[in-house]
Amino acid sequence: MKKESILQHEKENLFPQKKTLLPVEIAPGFQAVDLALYVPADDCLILGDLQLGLEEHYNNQGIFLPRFNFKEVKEHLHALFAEKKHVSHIFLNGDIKHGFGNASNQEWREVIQLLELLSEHADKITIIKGNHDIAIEPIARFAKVKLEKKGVLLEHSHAYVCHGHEIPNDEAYDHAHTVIIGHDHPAIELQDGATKQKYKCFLAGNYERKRIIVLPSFNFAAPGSDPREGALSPFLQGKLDHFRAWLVEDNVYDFGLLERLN
Amino acid sequence: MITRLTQKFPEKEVYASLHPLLGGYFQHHFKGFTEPQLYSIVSVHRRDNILISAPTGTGKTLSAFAAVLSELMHLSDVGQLEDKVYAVYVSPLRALSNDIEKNLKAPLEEVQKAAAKLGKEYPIRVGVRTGDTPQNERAAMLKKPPHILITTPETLAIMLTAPKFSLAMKETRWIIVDEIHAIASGKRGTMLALSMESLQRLSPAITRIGLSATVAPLDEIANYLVGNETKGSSRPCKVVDVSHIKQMDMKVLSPLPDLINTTQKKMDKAVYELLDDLIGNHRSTLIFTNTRAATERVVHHLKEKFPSKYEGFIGAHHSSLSREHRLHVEDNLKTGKYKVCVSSTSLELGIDIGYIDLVILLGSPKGVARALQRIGRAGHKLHDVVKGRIVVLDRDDLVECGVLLKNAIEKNIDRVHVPKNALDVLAQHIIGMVVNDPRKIEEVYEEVTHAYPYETLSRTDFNAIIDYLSGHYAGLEVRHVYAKVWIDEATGMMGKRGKMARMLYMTNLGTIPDEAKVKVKIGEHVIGTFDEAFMDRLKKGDRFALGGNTMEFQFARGMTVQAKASAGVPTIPSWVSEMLPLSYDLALEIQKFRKLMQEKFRLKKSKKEILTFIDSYLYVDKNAANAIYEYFYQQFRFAEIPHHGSVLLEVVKEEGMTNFVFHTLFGRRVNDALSRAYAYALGRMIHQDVDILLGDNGFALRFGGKASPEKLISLVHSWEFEKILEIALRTSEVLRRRFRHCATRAFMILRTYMGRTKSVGRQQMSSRLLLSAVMRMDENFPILREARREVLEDLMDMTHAKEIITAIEQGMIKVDITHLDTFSPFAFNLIAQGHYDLVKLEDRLSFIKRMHEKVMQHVNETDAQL
Repeated sequence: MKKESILQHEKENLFPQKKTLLPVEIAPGFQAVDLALYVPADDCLILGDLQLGLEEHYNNQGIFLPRFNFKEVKEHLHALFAEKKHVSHIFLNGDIKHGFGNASNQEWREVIQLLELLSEHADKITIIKGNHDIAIEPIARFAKVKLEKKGVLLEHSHAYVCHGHEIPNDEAYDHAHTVIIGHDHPAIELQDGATKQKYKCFLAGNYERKRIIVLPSFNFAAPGSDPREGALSPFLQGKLDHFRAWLVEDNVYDFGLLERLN
Repeated sequence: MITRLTQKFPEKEVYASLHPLLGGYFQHHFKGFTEPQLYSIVSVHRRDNILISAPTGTGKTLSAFAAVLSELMHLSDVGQLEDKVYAVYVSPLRALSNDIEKNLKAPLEEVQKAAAKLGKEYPIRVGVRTGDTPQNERAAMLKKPPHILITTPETLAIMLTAPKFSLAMKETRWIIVDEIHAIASGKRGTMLALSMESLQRLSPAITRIGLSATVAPLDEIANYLVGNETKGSSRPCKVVDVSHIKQMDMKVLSPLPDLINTTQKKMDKAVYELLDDLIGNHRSTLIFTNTRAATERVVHHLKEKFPSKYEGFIGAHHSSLSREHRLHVEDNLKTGKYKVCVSSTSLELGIDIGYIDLVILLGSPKGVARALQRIGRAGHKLHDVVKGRIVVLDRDDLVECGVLLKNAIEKNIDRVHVPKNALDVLAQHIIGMVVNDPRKIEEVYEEVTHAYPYETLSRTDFNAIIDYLSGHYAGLEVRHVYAKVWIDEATGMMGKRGKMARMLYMTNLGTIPDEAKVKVKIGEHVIGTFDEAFMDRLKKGDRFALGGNTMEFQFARGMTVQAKASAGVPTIPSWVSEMLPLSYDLALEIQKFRKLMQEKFRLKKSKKEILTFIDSYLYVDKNAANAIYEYFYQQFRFAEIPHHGSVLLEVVKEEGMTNFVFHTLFGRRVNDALSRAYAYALGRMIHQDVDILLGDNGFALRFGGKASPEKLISLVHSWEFEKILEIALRTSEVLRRRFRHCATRAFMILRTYMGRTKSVGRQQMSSRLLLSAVMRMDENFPILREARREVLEDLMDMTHAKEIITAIEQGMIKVDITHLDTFSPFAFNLIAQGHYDLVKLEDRLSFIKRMHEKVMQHVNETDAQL
């Protein structure tokens, strides 16, 4: 007689390896694929805060965080590019590297490698400067990518892509219908009786009269945080109940309005 | 080989073993030797390893030191007293170190006086070295090492790695460990055991002496003291057990004859009147409570109710008070200025507090050994009768303390738990082992496995730690950043990495985790703080009391908690993180008593017969016996008396919630494991949140909706038990917190680095990142495994919990499932826990009374039907 095991539905570990990369539309014209945003009208891929070099930054403070973020970032990117081999433009939306000062060894190495990898799959790469990217110019110059200090308006979708740590002082922003930001690393914690787990997510809502999309951070070291528990971006200081969340794990899942989550 | 010394040495022989001038001191001052001294002095003289278990005030210090002083005097006589450390004394408390220094200076001064008359002198140096010792003193010690060095476990570890100072310890003859019962049961003791092996390597002929209060099992503590010769075979050690030599006068007192049909006001009044009465009849009293908050409360209320008697004559003593304050209180006790001192656990260890003629325990001390250790603080002089009174506060307390007293009188002491195979402490210590010179890896393994806590350390685990220390979890190009040691497989050698290795080791050494208070905010306002440990059980929606208000937990960011004001009763009592767990052994004894009572009721014995039985079995007075009878009677009429061999699972629906109350009387540590496993299984069954109410006598699972208790029981299998707990704990606060502690001990987080020290908040945030990274990388990472082990074996008691699950599976423990309309009397205290708060004590008792009335109604109805 086979005894039923309470563990039979339990995953082997908390972090599943297999991913199905079905794009999910989170707003008309904007698709979430894994942790990246794809805009078909402009054929561009947007990645949020990568924070490469995070581990070295902690090492310098005597915290021996193992180096694993970049490996996972590459794995996720390879899976993405296996599905879609080429795009016109890739945007790295701020906080590419972690540290505040001059680029460290790890940052230098990893950012170069990343840009080399990305350039195989895109015609153009633009880095939009985030608040952590203080000394990003040397890297950008070296790898021959474009560095944007404020933000970029996407031609066809009229979306303005910027980091989100400040409201942009840019006419292009004023004309945009949609704003795409990073910076807040949104993640929502779910509880299922016995377990609690935090999942990175996309958020879509409104800010003034524009639609706003918040990207999850594209890194695996920091789990992210619930913006309702203290959002950083000036775009997210109001009530967030009307925002809708899409949680990302092996797929992108629509969880509906925030006001109904917890 | 551990052997009991059952024969004292005749006085003549003891005198013969001592230097005549020292013998003269004993003769003159004490007219002879105390009991422990008659056993130990000759043994120490003969260089036998020895563990002496004796109460305070029985001459323990000199029973260890007499032979040491004697030998130093002989060496001086023949001009061979050199500038090196002959004896090291280690105690867990800096305050104790200062006391011991004084205790040694007294006989030394007397001896010097007598010697001066003969034209001789004995330049024997006693020195204290702790974390407080200023640099100039340390430098002086290097030039002229003390012959007797008094220190703490941490400073000992540092000195052992000091290239110059350690030379002074190459021929140390004795190491004396005081309060060994207290130190062995934590990771500090684990580290000390390893340090003792390092010292033994430096000085192979060393003799080990342990001084202990009442503790069990004595043989295990002896083994801890001396370590192992070879695998599974202890080094030789003699054990002297004179813990019973002081006469004990112990009683259990109930403030009121009826602990349930009363009001909180009447109860309080009775408690304080009783305390006042006891204090008034004695010269000096020491009161032990179980929490710091209770300590403050008792002092406050006594001063308030009887200002003329207590204002200026009473002091509080606990770990949250400043050191100056505590010293002030200790001094006042010693000089007799204070008539009474109230303490939580801080005065358990033997700091000299002068003459105490009564010890009161307010509420159950939760263990026989602890009760005896606390009561043993009374009657500081040898022939005093040790007087202790346990004042009980509710019916469970009454039963618990009744059984406790019986076991104390019959010398049935509950066993202590010594943590085994702590991988984080091992990692730290190995760094210390190679911080000066490289060593053969094989030898390192051999040395650490001599230490008792590592006698079963597997080669696999050892290798895992070596891999961790050599940075194997990092890629080759960056390994140099993560590695603390280098290993050379070809030569089998390992050594330190980096020029800063010794500095890092010294500034980060230690096993005691930094603790800080968590700030509680409503919006931007800080309302108050609580212990970090309180977070272990807190989840969103839980209500807790702070500063007289009830709050609801929203979320936590670092060391700050966001809450909102709430009406309603707290769901988690505020003292929960401080509460001592009922010892497993004592819990089993209470179960035995319950079984006997169940039998008597089942056989329809008369009240008179049962009262006679209680009277003969327990050592309580008539009122107490009567109260116990009534309590059991009500439980029996209502449900069943859960006992050894049967677990009562009562199912009660109340206020729209279903409660599964498990009457598992095994103590909190076991119940913590059981409750989490069952809560996990239940949560999986119903896909909902399950609240856990945890106690010593059982636990309750509370949830909305329905579930089958039979199915729940059948789902928790013994062969998966550990795995279930692992998964249940994966995302828990308690694991996160313990992981931080382990990561810091294993130097994965360096508290002090590049001259900067991290705040606890900083340590906490980085450890969360570290934990999630480690979990992604390797769930079997040794530091993560150690955090789990610490939670499951040291904090909880998974071993016994698993035994219970197995017994349930095999039918040796029956689970009786009963559906009731209201809670049974034995469940009251568990369910009323949230009402247990300091401020809302009114609510608690009125809640219990309300339930009690329902029970009595039912009991009376059933009685009427008979």
